[in-house]
Amino acid sequence: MKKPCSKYSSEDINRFVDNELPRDRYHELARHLHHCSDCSLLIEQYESISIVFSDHADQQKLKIDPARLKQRFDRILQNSQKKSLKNAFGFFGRNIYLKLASITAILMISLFTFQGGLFDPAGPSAIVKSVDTEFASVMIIETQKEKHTIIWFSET
Amino acid sequence: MNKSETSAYIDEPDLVERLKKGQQWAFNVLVNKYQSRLLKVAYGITLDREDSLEVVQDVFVSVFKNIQNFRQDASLATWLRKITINHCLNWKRKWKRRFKWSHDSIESENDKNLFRENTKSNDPARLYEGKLFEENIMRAIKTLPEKTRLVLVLNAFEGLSYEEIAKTLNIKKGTVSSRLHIARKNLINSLDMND
Repeated sequence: MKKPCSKYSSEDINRFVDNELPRDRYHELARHLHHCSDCSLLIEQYESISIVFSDHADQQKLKIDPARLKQRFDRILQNSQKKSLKNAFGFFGRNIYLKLASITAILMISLFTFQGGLFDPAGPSAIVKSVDTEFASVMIIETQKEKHTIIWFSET
Repeated sequence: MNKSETSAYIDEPDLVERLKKGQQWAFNVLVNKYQSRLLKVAYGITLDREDSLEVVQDVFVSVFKNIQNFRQDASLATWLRKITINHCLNWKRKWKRRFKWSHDSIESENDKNLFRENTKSNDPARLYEGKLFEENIMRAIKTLPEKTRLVLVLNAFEGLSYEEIAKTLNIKKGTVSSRLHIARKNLINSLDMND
């Protein structure tokens, strides 16, 4: 590598190329370049790196395929629509109170159904006939819903 | 005035507002406006045509998904640049894990383009010299550590100051200066070795 003269370091040249030297030092080096070929050459070399690298990247003429990108955008939109529908209606959306109320209602309905007290008709089944003697009592009962006959016997 | 005509006059806050509303047209404007710049940065980091195309496509998809998070503290270009850098670094790490990154893409794919720039000159000796110089520079750039090349890309392609680079990469200004210095010194040294 071409070395700069003893007055300036390659680090100074580096910062000069990027316009990052303090103002007075920058102008001092700029004046120095008029008569220092070593520093001038190093600056030229440093600058050429950026130019060649940048040109090389430009020459690639890269371009995104708009159809492919649109496809990906559309897919995201579809997914987000599905997601929002799921959020809106999936187990009554995001409302936690509604969810809790639903669970409570389901539990209560199950409990009453299991006990047979919520929808079944209230009150005893119908007594069709009842006979009481000294030794025993017999009762013929008919259930209200299914019309089953139950004979109930009891010794007195 | 049609939409493609108006896109030239749309200012950034308006564009961001439209993007946040999810207008597809605004995304087309965004892609047209920034793709070449981002592709160049991505290429500088990955040094691979296909990878840079994939990365920048991912960047736009990510912007499409996360535009609501853009707080406009910095410009859209700065935000996009940062996303591109992150995607490039993640992309590279991903492929490194899969042992793909060692492939040499410069000679194969890019040699086709090496002479393109020099078509301005008809002198075969100068053409050859230019091609050789570019080839050597690119080969040497490929050997630079990722962190060093990243700083060079932001300096050479984006023209960022040391302070801007430091802010973008979350490093000290002095680190930027020394990385650039090391990059240039190493590149010139490797050219000397090739002479």
